[in-house]
Amino acid sequence: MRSDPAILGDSDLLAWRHWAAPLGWFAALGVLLVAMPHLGALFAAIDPEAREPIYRRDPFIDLLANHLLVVAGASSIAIVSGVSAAIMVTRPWGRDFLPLVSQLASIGQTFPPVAVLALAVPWLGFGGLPTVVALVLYGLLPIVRNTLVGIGEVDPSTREAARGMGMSPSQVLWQLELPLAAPVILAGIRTSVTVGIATAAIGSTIGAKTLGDPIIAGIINGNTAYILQGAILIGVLALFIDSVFARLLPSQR
Amino acid sequence: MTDQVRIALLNVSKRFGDDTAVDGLSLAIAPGELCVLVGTSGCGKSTTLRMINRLIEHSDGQIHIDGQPIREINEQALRRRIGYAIQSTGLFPHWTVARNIGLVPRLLKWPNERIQKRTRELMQLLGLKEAEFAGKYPHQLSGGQAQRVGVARALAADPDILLMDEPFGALDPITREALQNELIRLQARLKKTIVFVTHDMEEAMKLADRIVVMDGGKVVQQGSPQDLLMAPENAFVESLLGGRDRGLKQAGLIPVRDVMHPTGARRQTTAAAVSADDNLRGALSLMLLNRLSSLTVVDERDRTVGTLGVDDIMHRKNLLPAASAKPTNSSANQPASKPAPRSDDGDAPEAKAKVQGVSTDRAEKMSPHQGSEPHHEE
Ligand SMILES: Nc1ncnc2c1ncn2[C@@H]1O[C@H](COP(=O)(O)OP(=O)(O)OP(=O)(O)O)[C@@H](O)[C@H]1O
Ligand SMILES: [Mg+2]
Repeated sequence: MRSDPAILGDSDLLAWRHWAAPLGWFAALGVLLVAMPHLGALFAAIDPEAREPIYRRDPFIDLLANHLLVVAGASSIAIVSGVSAAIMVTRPWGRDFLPLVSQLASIGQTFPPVAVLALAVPWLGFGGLPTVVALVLYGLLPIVRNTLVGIGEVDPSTREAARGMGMSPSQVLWQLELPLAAPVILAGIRTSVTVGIATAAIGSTIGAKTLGDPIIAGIINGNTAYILQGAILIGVLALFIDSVFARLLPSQR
Repeated sequence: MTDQVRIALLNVSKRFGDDTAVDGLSLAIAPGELCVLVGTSGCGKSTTLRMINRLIEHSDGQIHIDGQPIREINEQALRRRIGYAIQSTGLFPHWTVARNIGLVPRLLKWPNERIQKRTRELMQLLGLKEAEFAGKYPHQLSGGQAQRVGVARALAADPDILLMDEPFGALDPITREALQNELIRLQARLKKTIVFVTHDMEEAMKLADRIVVMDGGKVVQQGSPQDLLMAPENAFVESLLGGRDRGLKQAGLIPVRDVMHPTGARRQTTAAAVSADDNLRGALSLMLLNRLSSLTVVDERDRTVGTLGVDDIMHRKNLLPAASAKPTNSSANQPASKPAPRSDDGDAPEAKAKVQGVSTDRAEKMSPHQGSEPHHEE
């Protein structure tokens, strides 16, 4: 897959100009983290009624790190389980489970994450764990769906030729189906992760430390400045991660 | 018996649910034979082919390769020793031409240098310039080029058996003819055992040592192209053979060389010339076109070697090629008792290779190797 233009769009993937957007967003994120605590005057102007214009209960950098940790954990689980489930139900022996799996994934997404949190707390207690569970359920659908689509789009005659040449089922999977499906699967992962970054904020309602903390605090205290600070950081983080995925996916040419 | 039969199907059936796709089919294919399955759509040709490499498991009967029941052979191992080429090529879109061709050798864990050498050889064999094509991806190829790559891939591990399912079906007539000629040329040199599926009877007659006409999952008739033309079993075979055009098709199987008067016998030159390697059909067409009743016959260097008059064509007692031509396999169910076609008959493939009708020139342009002299098999 190293030199595969079908997946990577450009052979000079590492050329730095291609990474301008991600680097830009990354720099913006860094600047915000450093500068935010010193922008008291600005936020005071935005919300003059606030007693304290800058959220200081935890450093933003800690919130960001924990936020990323929650999303990374949830996404890894969603990717591994989603992709494997989709692979399993596209094997001859697993085909019977195809409707079940795609339905489960849909239900996962239609079920509001807040409700999952509420239901999970009695089992898993407060904190990061129930948040991860909610994010996994919520993020599975795009991954499962795209993996199914990606594998389904492989030309049946190519698959037949692969088998006819004497490839084993696992060789067909690793050398044909997954490389061809990779861009579509990656697109599903991108959606899942990006949405996950935004959704993780609700973990703050049950005590997970995330960038949602300033937002929840802002809502409780009627402090618009806090809400803005949390929202801006989440937004820029999401854009940064998204731009990284945009680089990994083949460009629309 | 086993050294005379490479592929044996004994009373083989395939049922999909309640539908019977192949019904009690028996076939024995000798080493080096090019056997063409023809028939209308849905008659079970592809199913038969795919049972041979176990892409489809047969429901009943037995299939043997070199005397061994195929169910006793590991299916991947079996397929790696059988070349497989299909109409849609099935090339891997994310792999280069060179990598596609090297697929089976790589599966067989050949060392890299050997794979590269083999890939280079095959590209040359199929007239694909290495510098131009090795690094291309399938979507950058024309249909004909992609098909060449497909055939190269099928040949890569030098299998004894080649299964081809309408490999030239999706090509324009000129490219198709070029590739057919190339297949004849390759087969003369490589002597593979080939099972070739087509629904195009012209193609079947051109390529086949033996034609197997199928209908409704059964064999209706099998035999050499001449056998079929001389004595079609029933109206179905006759209609497949082209009905009214049968006479012309038969003429298309006879080389001018076999009928002409060598120079000296009658010394009259006419305005139009026909190649000695062309067939009587082409000669007749030329006569009609030029309103001539006789033609000059020339060799490949345009030297006059004889004459051919319309009487020579008419007064042949029958249009079967004389005994010098390749043996027929009308009793093909017991090929064990017959010599392997072609193997004892070095001339036949070459004569055949040059039976190209009037479009020879164009065909040659499409296939770089066509132009080279026919005697290059070592
Ligand atoms: N996998 C399958 N499942 C069910 N039925 C099948 C399957 N493959 C083939 N058939 C049926 O078997 C019959 C023979 O099909 P086959 O593909 O062998 O025909 P064919 O002679 O190759 O036709 P064509 O010239 O159109 O390719 C058809 O009626 C087809 O519908
Ligand atoms: Mg078919």
